[in-house]
Amino acid sequence: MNSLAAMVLLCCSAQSSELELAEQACDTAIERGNAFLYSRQTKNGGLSLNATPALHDVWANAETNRSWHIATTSIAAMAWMAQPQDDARDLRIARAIDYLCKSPLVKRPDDWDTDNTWAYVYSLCALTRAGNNAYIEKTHRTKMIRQRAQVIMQELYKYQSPMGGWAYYADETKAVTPNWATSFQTAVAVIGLLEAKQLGWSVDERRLRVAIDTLIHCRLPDGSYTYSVEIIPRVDTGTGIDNVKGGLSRIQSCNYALYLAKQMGYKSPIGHEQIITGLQQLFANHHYLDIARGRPTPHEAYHYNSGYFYFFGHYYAGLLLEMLPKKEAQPFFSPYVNSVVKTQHGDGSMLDFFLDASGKEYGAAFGVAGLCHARNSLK
Amino acid sequence: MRTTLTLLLFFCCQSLFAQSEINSSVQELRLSELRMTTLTQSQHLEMFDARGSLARAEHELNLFNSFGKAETEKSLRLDLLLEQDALDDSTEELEQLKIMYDRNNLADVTAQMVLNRAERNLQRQQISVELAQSEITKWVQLGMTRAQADLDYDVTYAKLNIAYLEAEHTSSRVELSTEISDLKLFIAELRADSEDE
Repeated sequence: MNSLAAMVLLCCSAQSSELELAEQACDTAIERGNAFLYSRQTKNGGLSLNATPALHDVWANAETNRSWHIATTSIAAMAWMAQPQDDARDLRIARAIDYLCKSPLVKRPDDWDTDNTWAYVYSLCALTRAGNNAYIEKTHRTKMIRQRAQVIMQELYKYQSPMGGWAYYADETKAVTPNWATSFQTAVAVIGLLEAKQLGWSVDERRLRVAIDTLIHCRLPDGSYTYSVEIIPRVDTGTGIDNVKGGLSRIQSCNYALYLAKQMGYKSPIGHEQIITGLQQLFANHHYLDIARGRPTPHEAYHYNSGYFYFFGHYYAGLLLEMLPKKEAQPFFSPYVNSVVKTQHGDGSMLDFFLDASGKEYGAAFGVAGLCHARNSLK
Repeated sequence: MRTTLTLLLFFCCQSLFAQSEINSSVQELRLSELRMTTLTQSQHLEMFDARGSLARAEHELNLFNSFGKAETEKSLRLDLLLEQDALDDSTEELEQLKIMYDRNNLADVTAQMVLNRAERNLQRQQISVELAQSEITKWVQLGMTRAQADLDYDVTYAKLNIAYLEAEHTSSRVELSTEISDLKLFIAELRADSEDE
């Protein structure tokens, strides 16, 4: 009996020690990630707009790179806003938000390339988070960010596909409004629109409702989401992408968007149970993302996983952990921290896909932001 | 004395000319015998090839009669089925697309453009179905008979070719054989004349 009690105590102590270690690793990684991101913030407040892109950079179009630069700056700002108040950090947040509000709107890079949508969805998300930031409010920036968010939402609406969602290429039709839509970019747009609505900003309710319904339409019986918004969605057999193994990151972003929608009174199938299942799927199949991370060619790994799925998915997994009660989030905390911390480089950056202009920066921004939200789940 | 010497010289020259003619004829005989060897070998090769052609033509004919007729028709019917399925898929997808666009109600030129394309795709698919149906009719009514006739022709041609080659080979061999016999006779006569002199 005594030995049983001792074993139980030992296990509890081991778990508690593992959790403490994970917490320490999380704090250290956030600090190192912050240091890297601070070093990459330029005088104008933006991050890493590379004026001399490398020859081997994947995308030559300057406006596409500017879109990613705006998105990266937005994610970095979100990472900083997810942390406890700090005077020096507040100044950096304010500079980043000023930059997002004052930069010229990203234009459509090409007839087939609508990567400008990445700038729209992430700057909208950053602005809505800023709408809840005490320093931004104190420094009277609220009106400016609301006005900018309105402009961005109007631009975003122009790119909402008749399929109901958003995507970043229009090569199918090369029409003004693209027809192609993806679940995961739609999820990011829905999150931005829902958060804008929460702030009382004017949102096109019909478009938002359509986008939420589109996400629900993408959800498959195995809990994953189709990559594209399909007319008739179905689970891919074999090595396809439209299943759990090919959709680990989409599950997290779409679950978060639909959970948020449910919280705000929309009809949605995502509650705590589905969040937990999605997180279990992420960690049970995490090797698919590990294999893909760092690979140079998009979709070259098993189940068409791309390197850049990694931090995108982990960021939303961190947000989902924050949504769960502490007891339910706790078992995921250590594996989550480990999966992010193990990717950190000596300079504090994180990289899942080589992009000369913004690869390390968006990686670190997503990584730090995800860790911050995951850490909040323990409180 | 001068007359004797002149006669002696004449006979010597005659003997030398006779020997030279014998040598030349023997050389010609050897060449002809070599030609006979080559002819025999090339005829073997030609016959081998001709018999192979016949065997292949008969095999193709048997294959066609045992499987080809039925399999080609079956394959064409499968093509028709695939085209009909594709038509059904396109029809269903167009209906679903309309439902989705109507539900989303994001009235946009792109929606109409995609619907128009889907309609045109449907029309093309209908033509594909008609063509697949026509391929079956063509096969049953014309193609099968034509294929049978072509294969029969190949077998008959191969058989006739063998018969022709057999005759032609015999004729060539007899011709060359006669040439060799003539040469042998000519050489024997030359040698006899030479000995008499």
